[in-house]
Amino acid sequence: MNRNFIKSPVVKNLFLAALAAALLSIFFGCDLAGSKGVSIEERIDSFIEDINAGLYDNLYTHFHPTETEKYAEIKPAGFWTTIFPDTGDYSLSNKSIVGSTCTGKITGGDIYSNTLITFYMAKDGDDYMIKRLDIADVTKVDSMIPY
Amino acid sequence: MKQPVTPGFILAAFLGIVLPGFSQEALTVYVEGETTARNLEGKLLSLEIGDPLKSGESVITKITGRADLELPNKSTIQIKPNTVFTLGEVELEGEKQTVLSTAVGSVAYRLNKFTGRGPSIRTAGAIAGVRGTDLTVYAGADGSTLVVVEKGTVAVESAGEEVILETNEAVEVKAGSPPGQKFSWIGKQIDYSQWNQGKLEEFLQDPVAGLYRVADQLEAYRKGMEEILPELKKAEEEWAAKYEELKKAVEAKDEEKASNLREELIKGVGEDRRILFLNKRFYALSYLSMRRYVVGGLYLQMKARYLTKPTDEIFIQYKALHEEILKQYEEIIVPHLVEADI
Repeated sequence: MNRNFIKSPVVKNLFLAALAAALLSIFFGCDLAGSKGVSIEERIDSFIEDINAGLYDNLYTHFHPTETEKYAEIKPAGFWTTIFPDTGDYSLSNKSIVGSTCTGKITGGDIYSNTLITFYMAKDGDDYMIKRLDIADVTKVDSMIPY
Repeated sequence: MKQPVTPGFILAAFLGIVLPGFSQEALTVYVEGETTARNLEGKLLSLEIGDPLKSGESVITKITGRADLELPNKSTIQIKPNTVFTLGEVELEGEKQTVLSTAVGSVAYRLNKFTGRGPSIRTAGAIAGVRGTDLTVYAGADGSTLVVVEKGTVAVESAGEEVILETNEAVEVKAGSPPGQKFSWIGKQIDYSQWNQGKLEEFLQDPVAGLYRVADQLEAYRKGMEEILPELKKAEEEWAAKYEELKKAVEAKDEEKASNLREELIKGVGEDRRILFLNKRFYALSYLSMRRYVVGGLYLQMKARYLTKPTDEIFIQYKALHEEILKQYEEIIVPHLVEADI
C-alpha cells in the first residue's frame, strides 16, 4: 500500500468525508442520495411488522389521516382482529409497486394463503401512508373519493 | 346480511333513495373570523380557504366566525357563528351515506340533487333527509333543533316520529322528543342568537326537565349502539367458529374446505362483522359529541348560575342527573371509544 497516498491532505479529507457518510448511512439508515421520508415499501413492511408484533392499537397510524375514510372508526384494535387474526406469522410475497399502488400476496393467520392484497398509498408530507386496503378484492378500509 | 335499522335508514327508504352515494368530502370555500377545524386526531387547527374537510372532522366557529363549505356536487354548507359542525358517514346496506351534523349553532344548506343516497342532516335531537333542498338547521344549546325549509321537501324524524316539511315550512324538535307542530315561517325573521337564547332561557326555567330531554336523546344513541351489539356479538361468534373450523381444515390439509372457509371469513361473516363494528362506532362517537357539546355546555351554564347557591335543590337535582349521565357515558359508551376519540 502506498502510505504517501493516504497522507495527502486532500485525499485524507475525502476519505474522512466518505467514512462519515458511510457511518451516517449505517447508523441512521438514511439514503443520502435518495428521497427522504417513509417509502411505500417501508410503510407496508412496517404495517406487517406491527401486525406480527400484535400492535393492533397502532395499525391505524399507518393510514393516511385525511385521505382514509372512517379514519376515526378504524382506530380500535378490535376493528383489526378479524381481518388479521393474532397469529404473528404474516408475510408478503410478489410485491409489485406501480405508481402509488402496491399489490402482493399475503399468507398467514391460516386465513390468507397467497391471497391478493392491494395497498393504495398517498403521501402525507414526506411519508407514504396507506389510504385504502383491499384483500381478495374486498375493500377493508376505503379511501376518500378524490375531490 | 340484515343491517341495523337506524332512523336515518328508515328515512332514506321513505324517500326512495337507493342508488349508491358519494363519499363525503367538503372543500372550504370561505372563512371569516375565528374559525377552527378539529381534525381526526382531535387537534384544533386554523381553517383556511382551500382546506378539505374529511369524514369525522369538525368546523368550530366562535362569535365572529363563519365558514362556507362545498360538496363535490356543488351543494353548499354555510356554517354560522357559534357553531360546531361535523362531516360524517354511516354505512347502510353496504352503501355509504353522508351525515352532516350540527352539535350546536346554525348551518344553512343549499343542496343540489345527489346522484345517490342523499345526505342525512342531523343535530343532537333530529334527523332530516333531504334532496335538492335549501334549508337551515339550528341546533340549540339545550339540544333543541329548528329546521327551516326555504325550498324543497324535508323529512324530519325524531323519537320514531316523522314530519314532512315543504317549502316555507319549519318545525322545532326538542331533544329526545318527537317533532312539534310544523308552521309557516314566512314573514318571521329567524335569528339564531335570539332563538338559542330563548331555548336557553326555556331550559333554565326547568333545567332538570331539560336535561332529562337531553338524556332521552343520549338514550336513543345508546339504544342504537346497543341494538347493534347482539348482532355484532353473533357475527363475532360465527366468525370465531368458522375460524376454528378453518384451523382444523388447514391441519387436516383439506385444502378445498379451507378455501371455502377462507372465502366466508374474508367476504361473508367477516364483512358483516366489519360493517357492524363501524356502525357501532358511529353511535358511540355521536353520543360522545352530544355529551361533549350539549351536556358539557349546559353544565357550565348551570354552574355559573348557581355559583353562589350550590345547595339549591334544583342545582342538586341537576347535578345528580348530570352525574348519572356521565356515569352511563363512562360505563356504557367509553368502552367502545379509544383514547384518541376522547
